[in-house]
Amino acid sequence: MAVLLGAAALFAAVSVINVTYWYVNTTAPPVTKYVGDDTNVMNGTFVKADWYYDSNTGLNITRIYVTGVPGDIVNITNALRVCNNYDVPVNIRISDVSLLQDYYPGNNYIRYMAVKIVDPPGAADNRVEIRDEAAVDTTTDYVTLAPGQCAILGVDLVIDANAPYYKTLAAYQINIEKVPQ
Amino acid sequence: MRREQVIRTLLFFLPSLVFIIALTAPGGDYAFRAGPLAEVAAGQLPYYVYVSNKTLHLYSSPYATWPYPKALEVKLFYPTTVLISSTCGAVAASSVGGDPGTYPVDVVVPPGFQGDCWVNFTHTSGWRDAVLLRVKLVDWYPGATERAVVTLNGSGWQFVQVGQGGTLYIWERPMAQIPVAGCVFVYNKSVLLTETQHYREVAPNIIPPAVAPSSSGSVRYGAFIKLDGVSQLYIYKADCPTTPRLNLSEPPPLRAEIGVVLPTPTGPVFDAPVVNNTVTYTTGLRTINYTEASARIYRLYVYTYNTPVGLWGAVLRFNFALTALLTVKISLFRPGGELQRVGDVWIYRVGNVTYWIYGPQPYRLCEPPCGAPAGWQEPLYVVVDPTGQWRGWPKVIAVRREVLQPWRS
Repeated sequence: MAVLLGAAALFAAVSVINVTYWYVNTTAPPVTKYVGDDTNVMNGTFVKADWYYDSNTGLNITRIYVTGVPGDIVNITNALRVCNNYDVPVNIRISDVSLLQDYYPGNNYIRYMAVKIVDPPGAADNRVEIRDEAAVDTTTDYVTLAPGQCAILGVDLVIDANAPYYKTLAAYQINIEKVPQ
Repeated sequence: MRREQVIRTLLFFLPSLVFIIALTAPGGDYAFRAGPLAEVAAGQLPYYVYVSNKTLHLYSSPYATWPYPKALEVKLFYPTTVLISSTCGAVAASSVGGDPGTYPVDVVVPPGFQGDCWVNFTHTSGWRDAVLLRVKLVDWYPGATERAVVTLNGSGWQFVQVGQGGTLYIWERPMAQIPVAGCVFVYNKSVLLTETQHYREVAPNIIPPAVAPSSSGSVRYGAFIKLDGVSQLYIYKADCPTTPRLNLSEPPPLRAEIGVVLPTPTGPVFDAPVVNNTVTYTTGLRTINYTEASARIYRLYVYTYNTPVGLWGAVLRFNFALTALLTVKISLFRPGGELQRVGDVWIYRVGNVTYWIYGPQPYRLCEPPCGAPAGWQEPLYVVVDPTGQWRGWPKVIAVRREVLQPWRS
């Protein structure tokens, strides 16, 4: 009998199920990216941007073109603006720089590239860096954007003098991470 | 002799005679009982046997003997033995008997028999009885009460499986739901060689389920058929026929480009899978090689299998992590050559070998870059045809259930 009782206790169970109902809503993104004022220089020769929709993943991908001059140093001080849409502060940073496409493998034509948070100032590490086409500093510190405030991102470029003209040399994935407060 | 002596002698002799007879008779005191020696009647019969008096309406099959266990009963009232014979070899036992009681008699109708068959019961005393078996030959697997009739349209060799839940798989790809699941496949008037293989979920609660061959788990029964146009496959719920073990080699290695291009600080890398573990299963018809592999952003569950018909196959299932990575190449399976879309399948042709693939697009270049896949991908079902004869998965035109009914009522 004791064995039977033990077996009954083994199979005894109480289960309480609480039914929940999950709405999936949408909201506006924390920030909106705008191409910076330097897009007006030479009709966007040095910086321009657009976006496209990836139907397989459903992602909206921003594409930014920056142009260097082989053999010269190019500073683009207002390449991209990132503006806080929310009515709370939003921390942003540049992160996870990585090389996705190298159109000239074996030639390190991109000798130096930095994407930096020009404004607001104050970040101890305000730039990500690429040397000889490899990312050496992949993430900046956070800066805080007040509601409505825009960050300004700039780009420094040194392209090897032997690089061909009017060509795409490489494509980097650079994320802009946003943390609403 | 005086009259008294005669009476005394008879009074002593007659009881003694009765006593001696009772002791020496084979049936003991049963020798003095009145009534029949035995009775013969119908025993335990399946519902599809019609019985009228001592006539049984049975079926026979072209595929095997049709057993009717305990179809007849002999009730013996005496401790004796009754001899049994039949005019068609339907009774294996030559006699039943012993102590008084009820004795079942198995009837086994030989394959292909049709007509009347007498089962005769005799006794040396002259007692006799008989049961008439009226047998109808029917195109049905013996012993089964129901079958699924699957009408297929296609050509070439097809590997058909039926799962316990009634799912019909063709080259491992689920194609239809059928009402009867069983291990006996009859096609083109032949009972097919079958295999039994277990499958288990490699990860629980995935839709559609992520399953792979295993040593335990739910069973699938499989067989090969060679289609030529529209034809019907019959699947019976019955025990598996004995299948001789075929001599099969391991499936060829899955030589293909598998992975995604991922960005890293130093440049793009191809995120190829690294094998974690491999298990080989051998069935009556196939050799299956199951492999689990992992890469930076996904796990791959893949099994390949060899067949005796010149083709081989594979099933690949990817589980990607959710990442924010962009990619320029997603190669779920690319053995080489150009990817073509033909109907609802993908095809690669590499030399004389054709790779038929059902599932998500197996190869994609993204220009501009696209996001890396996320989560469980739909399975990729691959059939590799080095023969040049295969023309793709067949179409399941119709599925119905048939139940065996008595042929006379």
